[in-house]
Order: sequence, then C-alpha cells, then structure tokens
Amino acid sequence: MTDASGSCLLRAADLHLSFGPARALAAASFTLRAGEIVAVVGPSGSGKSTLLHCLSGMVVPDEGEVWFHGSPVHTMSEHERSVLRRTRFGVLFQFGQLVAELTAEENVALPLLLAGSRRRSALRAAAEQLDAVGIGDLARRRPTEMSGGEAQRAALARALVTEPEVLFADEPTGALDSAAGASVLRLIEGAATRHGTGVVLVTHDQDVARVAHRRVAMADGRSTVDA
Amino acid sequence: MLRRLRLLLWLATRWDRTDLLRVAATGAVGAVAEAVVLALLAVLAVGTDDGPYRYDVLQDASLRRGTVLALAVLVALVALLAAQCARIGATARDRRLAALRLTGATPVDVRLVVALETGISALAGSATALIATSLGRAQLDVITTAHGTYREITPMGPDTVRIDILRGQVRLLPTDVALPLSLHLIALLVTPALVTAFCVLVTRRVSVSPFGVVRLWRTEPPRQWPAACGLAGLVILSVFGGLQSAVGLADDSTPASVTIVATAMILTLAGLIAGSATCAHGLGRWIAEHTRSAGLLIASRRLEHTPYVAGRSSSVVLGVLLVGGFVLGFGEWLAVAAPPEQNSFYADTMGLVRVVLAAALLMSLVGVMISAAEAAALARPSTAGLVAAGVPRPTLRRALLVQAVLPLTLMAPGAVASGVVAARGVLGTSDTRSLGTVAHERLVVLPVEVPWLGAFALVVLAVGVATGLSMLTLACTRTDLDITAIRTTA
Ligand SMILES: Nc1ncnc2c1ncn2[C@@H]1O[C@H](COP(=O)(O)OP(=O)(O)O)[C@@H](O)[C@H]1O
Ligand SMILES: [Mg+2]
Repeated sequence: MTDASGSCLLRAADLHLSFGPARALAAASFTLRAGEIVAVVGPSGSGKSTLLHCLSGMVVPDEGEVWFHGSPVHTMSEHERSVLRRTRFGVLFQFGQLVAELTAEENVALPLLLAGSRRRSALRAAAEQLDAVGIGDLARRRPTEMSGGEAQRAALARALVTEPEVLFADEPTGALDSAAGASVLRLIEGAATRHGTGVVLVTHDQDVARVAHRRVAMADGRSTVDA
Repeated sequence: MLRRLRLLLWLATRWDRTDLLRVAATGAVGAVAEAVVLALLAVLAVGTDDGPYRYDVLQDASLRRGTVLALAVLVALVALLAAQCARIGATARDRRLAALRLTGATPVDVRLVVALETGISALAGSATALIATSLGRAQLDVITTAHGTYREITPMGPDTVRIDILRGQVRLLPTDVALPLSLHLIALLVTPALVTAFCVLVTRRVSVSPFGVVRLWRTEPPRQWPAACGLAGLVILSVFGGLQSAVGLADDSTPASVTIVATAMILTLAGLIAGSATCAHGLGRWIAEHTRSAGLLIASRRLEHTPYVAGRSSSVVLGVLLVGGFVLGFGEWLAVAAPPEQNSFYADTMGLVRVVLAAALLMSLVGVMISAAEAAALARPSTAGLVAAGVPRPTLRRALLVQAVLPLTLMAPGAVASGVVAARGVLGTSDTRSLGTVAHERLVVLPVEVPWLGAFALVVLAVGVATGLSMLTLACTRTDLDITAIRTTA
C-alpha cells in the first residue's frame, strides 16, 4: 500500500468513529501540506477534536485511513503512534498539558529526554525554545507561577522543541485573552513559515481561523472543504 | 433542615460504577472492622464462668488485657483503612460535587455528602458483620470446641500464681460469651462512627471548589526540627534501660517508665514521618537536578514539591514497622530472658502479636496502594497531556510507582532499626542468669542477639509488598489517555 498524493504531509479519508451510539465522525476527510495552516472550524460537538485525535494517532478511527508521509498511521501499533507523536508531531491543547511540578524548562525538555538526549543539551535546547516563544526569563518557573498566556507559550515551546513536521493545536487560544491569543497565533504562524511545519488548527473562533491558509468545516462529523 | 438533609442523603447515594466499587470496599472493610470490634467486646466480656480457652491470651485474665489492647489497635487500623477506601475513585465523585458547588452547595454540604456516603457504606458493612456473626455463632462454636489442654492460673499472693494444666473441652474463640443487646447496638454504631471520623480526617485537605477538586498539600520544604525530635526520642529509648538501672529504679514497668517509653516511641515515629518528608524533598530535588530520565524527572519533582504526600500515606506503615522492629527485639530478649518452662506461654503471646502485626502491615500497605491510585487519578490531566504528546505509558507508570514507593523504601530500614534499637535500649542487650546448683551457682551473662535476619526480612517484606501492590494498582488504574481529562482540566 502506498499513498497516492505524494506531496501531502498528512492525508485522511473517509474517517468514521462512534463512541457507543454517539457518532463523532461520519465521513471526514483531510489533507495537509508542509508549511500549511489548515483551520478546522465548526460548532461545538461537530467532531473537530475527534478529527484531530484521529489525525495525530491518539485515537484509531473505526473506519477510514490516515496517512503521514505515505505511511499508514491507522494501522500502526500504539507504541509506533506514540513514537510518531513525540518525534514528528507536536500537540497543543487549550490548557492543562504541562506537568505542574516541573519547571517550564524541564517541561519543554521532556520530549528531548525521552528521545535520549543528554540532560544538559536537552535543557539548553529547551531554554532556547523558551527564548524563541518570548518567555526565556521564565525558564525556572513552574506552570502554576505563570499566567495562562505564558503557560500556553511554554506548552507551545514543548510542542515545537522537537521541530515537528505537524503541529496539532486544539483550541490553542480558547482559554486566553485576545492579546495573549494573538501572540500564540503569531508564534504558530512563525513555525509554519520558518520551519515548514504543517499546522492543524482546531477552533470555533472565526478570527483565529483567519490565520489559516485553508479551512475545513465540520458539521455532525462530516467535513466540507471551503475555499 | 430536614429537607436539606434528605437532599444531601439523596446526593450521597447517586452511585455509578466507580462509586459502587468505593462503597463496596468501604462496606467490606467496615465489616472486617466490625468483626474485630465484636471480638474485642467478647474478649472484654469474658468472665470467670466462661472458657476454658485453648490460648492463654484468652484464658489468662492479665494477658486478656493485652489482647484487648491489640484488638483495639487493630480496630483503629481497619477503620483507618475503611476510611482510605472511601478515597477510591473519589476524584471523579469530587468533580461531580464541584459541579454541585457551582450551583450553590456550601463546602459543608459537600463534606456532609462525603461523610454520609462513607457512614452509610460502613453502617451497611457493620450491620452485615453483626448479622453474620450472630447467625454464625453456633457454627463457629462447634468448630472451635475440641478437647485439649488449658492452663488455669490462680493468683496465690502478690507475686505468686498457681498454674494448673488441665484437660478438657477448650474453645479457640470466646464464642460462648453472650453480649447484651445494648452492646450489640453500640458495636453496630461504633464502627461507622469511627470510619466516618477517620474519613473526615483523611479528606481534610481535599477542597471541592466550584472550579474542581484540589488537594491542598503543604508544599513548603519540610523543616529539620521534627526529625531532630525523632532522634531525641530514639536516644532516650536507646539509653533508657541503662539509665533505669543506673538510678536504681526497678526493672518493672511502672506507669512512669511506660509513659516515658511510649512518649519516646511517639517522638521517634514523628521523627520518622518528618524524616520521610525531608528525604522525599531532598532526594527528589537531587534526582531532579541530575537525572536524564523523563519518568524519574517527573517523579522526583513531584516528591520534591509535595513531600508530605509520601509521608502521609506511609506514616501508618512506618508506625507498624517501628513497632515491628520493637517486637523483633523483644522476641530476641525473651529467648534469652524468659524462663524456659514458660516458653509456650510466651510463644502464644508472641504468636498473637505477630498475627496482629502482619495484619496491620498488610492493611497499612493497602492504604499506600490506595494513595498511589489517588495520586494517579489526580495527575491524570497532565498524564493525559503527556500521553497525547507521545510519552510512553510505561514511563508514566514508572514515575507514579517511584513516587509511591521511594519514600517508604528509604524510611523502612530506619523505622525497623529504630524499633530494634528501642527494644534493646529499653530491655537491655544482655541478661544475667544463674546456672548450676545452689551450692555451685554460676552467673553467666547471655547476650541478646540482634535480630538482623528478622529486621532485614521485615524491611524486604514491607517494601516488596508495597511495590507489588502499587504496581498492581497502577496496572489496573486508568492512567490512560483520557481525552475528557484534557478537555476539562483547568
Ligand atoms: N470520549 C468520548 N466519549 C463519548 N463521546 C465523545 C467522546 N469524545 C467526543 N464525543 C462526542 O463526539 C462528538 C464530537 O465531539 P468533539 O470532537 O469533541 O467535538 P468538538 O471538538 O467539535 O466540540 C460529540 O457529540 C461528543 O459528545
Ligand atoms: Mg473540541
């Protein structure tokens, strides 16, 4: 089996997923190219998050296929998918993904340590990444000692520290005020343009969706591509 | 007021599957507590007409007091365990209660709901045990009655007793003692009351705010002086016997000397608990600053920032190990100091003490396990975030395991050693005995052995069982990627 559309970084077709009687996805499709930001928009409960979970390999769809660089994500083992997520994907949620007891620097260094980096070099890379998202001076603070916007930037630094090919962001600005939200969006845009990271940006906010190159609209678990 | 209570009662009994597990566990352990309460009352009520019993700990009136004390300690421990069972899966319930707070329930309401739930579960267990023992009394009696030997001890004077060995029908348990109805009623209520009180105690740092459930751990670094107090207690214990004979006090256990020893033991235990917090904090920081393992980094930082979590859950274990060490030392002392003709008499007593100790150790370790599960549940949101980011689940499980077991592993040898040191200090490290005939009397000094092997075995047992139980719990706990956890966490 090979992937037909070679230029695609990520491609999913005809995804179905139900939680018991509840249909979360019914025939959802998706494509993403390097450096492209695709917004997934739609009302609450329309299946945006579930689509992101399937695309990133957190959840396996009941039916349908997910291809990353021409390899089938939907047939990978749990282990392979988590390796994929920590080496080639980055994930960013609304809130709550930082470990409260670790400093910002240590949180950001986690993916590198898991990849087998030496402690010192992992911490150095983490500090640089924190600098890049503009909170280099908060490296030694813990998430509880930061504002929501700062914590979210630290989470973004953790998602980007491995220089992922795809960034999955689920309502990344949902818990932030507009200024903090705008700065997180600028950083995401920067990652896409400078490093060619493809971004899946789930949002229900039309203003946020404006930074995207393309939109995929979700409704009742179905996707429709609008221009 | 009544209507409000009815509403709270209704809320306290809206159970789903995880709630049922908690309720069932609380009820089951409550039933065990009730059984021990009934046993205690029966032993307490044994009169001169009752018996005879196979074991001296029941047959001998002075030993019976010790039995009652041991059973009382056991009741407290089982009730504490039942209260800890009330924490199983409680994080989910507390999130529901948080939603209740959002709609206007007061903190007192929420605490009442929790207390009511625990009280009702324990009452159900208590009633079950009461009915079962009442119905089963006849069967138990038949099973335990057999022919055998028993001792009859008759006081002859202030310091002398007559011991007659008699043959006849003996009972293993005091199943012939009939308790009055009023005592039954007290027994029915005392267990739920105790369990509920302990539950309030163990949940005092759980705060259910409208924004969710938070555990208010003390996070400031532990101080040094409680550990120093513990050391002082240990020093008192270790020189106690020597000091006592130096000032020419009687070797006997006067109320004053018992009080001093007990106080010093409590000081030592406090020191051990504080010590485990200090260890968790210091070692956690050291590991966190040097490790390159992600799992260890997470575990050690958690230990550093919430050092009392570890101390709290393992404090009962440390207490049991301290007493265990003392008992080991006591056993070695008995082997040297007890007159050989009374060996079987002491063997009985030591046997009972060991059984109580083993039960206490197991129960306190189950408590550690429940704490581990609770820590896992509380960490679930950030765990889910990490799993989403591709952190392998085994890494996270290992982190939780280290967090649960490391402080205990560090302090267990200290606790057992303190107990042994205390026993040797209080009872002495040698015993003088006269051998030979009156004409050719010879005094020999027999050293009391250090129970190295027993102490080692006790430590290995405690740490091993704690590790095993925690692994089992963590394997069964869903530390899984739970998307809801990512969605709903502030
Ligand atoms: N873990 C789950 N269990 C049960 N139902 C779920 C779960 N996750 C999502 N759903 C359901 O699937 C549908 C889509 O959810 P979701 O993808 O979270 O929507 P969105 O992110 O667009 O708000 C909803 O109806 C939701 O109730
Ligand atoms: Mg969503």
